Amino acid sequence: MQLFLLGVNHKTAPVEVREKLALPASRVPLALRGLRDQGAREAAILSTCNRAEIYAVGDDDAAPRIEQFWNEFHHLPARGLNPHIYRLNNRDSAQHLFRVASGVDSLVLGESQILGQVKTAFEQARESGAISGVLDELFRRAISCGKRARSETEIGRGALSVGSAAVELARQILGPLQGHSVLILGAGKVSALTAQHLVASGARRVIVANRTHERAQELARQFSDGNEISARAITWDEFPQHLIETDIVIASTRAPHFVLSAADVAVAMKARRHRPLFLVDIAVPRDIDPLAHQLDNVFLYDIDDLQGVVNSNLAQRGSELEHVETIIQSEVEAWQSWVHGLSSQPTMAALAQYSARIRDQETENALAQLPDLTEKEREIVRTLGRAVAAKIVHAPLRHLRESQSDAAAIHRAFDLDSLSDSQKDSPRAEEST
Amino acid sequence: MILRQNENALLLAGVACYFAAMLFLWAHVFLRADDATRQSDLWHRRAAIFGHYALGFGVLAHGLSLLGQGSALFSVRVGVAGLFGWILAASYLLLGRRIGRETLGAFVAPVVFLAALYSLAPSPLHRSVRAEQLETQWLVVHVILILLGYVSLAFAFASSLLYLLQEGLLKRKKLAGLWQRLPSLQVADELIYRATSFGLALLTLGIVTGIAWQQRHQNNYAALSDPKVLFTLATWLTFAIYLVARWLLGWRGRRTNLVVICGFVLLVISFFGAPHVLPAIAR
Repeated sequence: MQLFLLGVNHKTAPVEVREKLALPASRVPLALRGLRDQGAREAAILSTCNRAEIYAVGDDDAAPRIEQFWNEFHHLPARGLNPHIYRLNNRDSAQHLFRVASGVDSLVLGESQILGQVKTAFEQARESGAISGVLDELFRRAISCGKRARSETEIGRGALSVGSAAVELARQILGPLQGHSVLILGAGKVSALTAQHLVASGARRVIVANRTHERAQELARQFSDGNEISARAITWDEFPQHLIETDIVIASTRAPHFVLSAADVAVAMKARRHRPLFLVDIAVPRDIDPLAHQLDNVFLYDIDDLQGVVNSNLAQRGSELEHVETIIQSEVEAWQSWVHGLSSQPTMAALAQYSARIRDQETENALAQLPDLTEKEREIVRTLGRAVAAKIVHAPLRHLRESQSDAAAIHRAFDLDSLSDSQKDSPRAEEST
Repeated sequence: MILRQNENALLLAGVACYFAAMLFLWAHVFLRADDATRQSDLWHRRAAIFGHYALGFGVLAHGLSLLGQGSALFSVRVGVAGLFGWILAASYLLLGRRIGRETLGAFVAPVVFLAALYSLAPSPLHRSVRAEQLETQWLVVHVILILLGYVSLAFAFASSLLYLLQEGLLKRKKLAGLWQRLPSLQVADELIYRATSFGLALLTLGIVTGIAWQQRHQNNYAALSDPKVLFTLATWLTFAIYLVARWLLGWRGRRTNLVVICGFVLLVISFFGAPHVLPAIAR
């Protein structure tokens, strides 16, 4: 009986392989049932765009069968995963899941999405009834390890995307973003995503200008749909007037030249009475004349500047790696002693039973030969039996509870197997009476 | 009585605490400024905590020494400087940390330290004002108004430095570490504006009561030939220019905040212009 892990991730497999292993949530129960049919007592599947991993508890021979099933389930040629797969057992598989949940194994170091994905995998497996004791405990511990890594270190701190870097900057310039408005120049995907970050952080008005007006209208509709955000499209020629009322401008047009000159910005600044203006230029070639940054109260950042914020945050996260690994190690140790406790529990129970049985047998034997004893004297004999039995098994029990000792050795030393064989009969006999 | 005897020792202890607070709060802002690991984050937080404790102890010791000085405080420049430093430190601990994040302390603490240090210096004017000159409540009212005005303007000054620091980081695109610990430009700007408005209002009232007090004591007092009054008026005008520029012309940002810094420099000069006033009364 062991815990094992089969998986591929972005480091071991190219996207062509990972996409074949993608598993929509609706098919997860089916896959879990298949895994259990192949001999897994417990199973959970973690499937994201960067990884596909199966965690299972089963007998030693279940692993190859599960691997074969996995190939077949995804219609891959036999041993098709072989060059990409990693196979880990027991301690190593637990450590791997803890590292995954902490974001250390992610493409973007310390990203937080993975923790949610681990939770989802846990819930899916639980709802399908595919996990009980061991994996249940493992996933709970993995999730708490991920939370610890993020709360006790800075691994999760700082913006990691251009959009969230823009939010960080906007906050340090304009204060809280509530009540500020965003002007989008060029209704592209990247500008929409960046604006989405700002809206999620409190910006409540969005104005979209695009050369083709229809595209602007479409994007404005996307923003106002289902949100309490007023979003509207304006024609391209109108946009310089709107520099007066908006505080954040996101430019990402495909224009080969500047669409916003420093002179235009200077005119707008006068009209806005020098309220600070935050310009984000994510277009290549650039849309806004970099000279605008020289103007008082104008803060212009291009794609490289934002990427610079992201990179310095990433470097900071990298410097936290050591701390996170320490946390993971301590969690792995805690897990190991839990597993150990689990495996020594039957031995401890058997040992306790063994001593109780000898105690009762021998005490009753002695009492049967001493019929003249008073009740007080009989009690003394019983106490004697209890004390002797308890003291003999005290040391081995403590050993099992506290240290990583070999439960099997103690099992053999006390010959507990023969005991449990003879014990098997007696409870049944009692039941039948 | 005990306070009166130990007044100097207490003041010395207060000044030492202020000095320590200043160093800690500077470390919080300026040391390891572009390092944002958790280790340095803890380090910075600890520096701020130590700094605030030092400031707190300073306020306590300094406050006791002020009690020992009694009403003499209100009449002598060194006493007033000490009182100013004490009110500034106490009000920063009560209010300023909430408004300006902990970085504000790095710019408040040196002002507090210098004011307290100055009040330590033996001065020929120390305790030289006769009690009968204090009989009128005008003087106390005048000094308190001016003091509170100064404290408010000192906050405006410290926030202006914060603003310029943050603005410089944002303009030079030095975006690691320190910029995240500083308040946002908008918050700093708002603080400068409010502190200046409040400070200028108090200063106005203080000037009016001051002139009234002078005229009671000196019939032929010519306010406009007194250099202290002239500097005070220049200070007043500078802060007024800032407010008008912001209200009416809508100026904002670096340039207006430089005006506030100039105003505070003038304020310090006008304060040291005081020796010209007191000998005039003593005559």
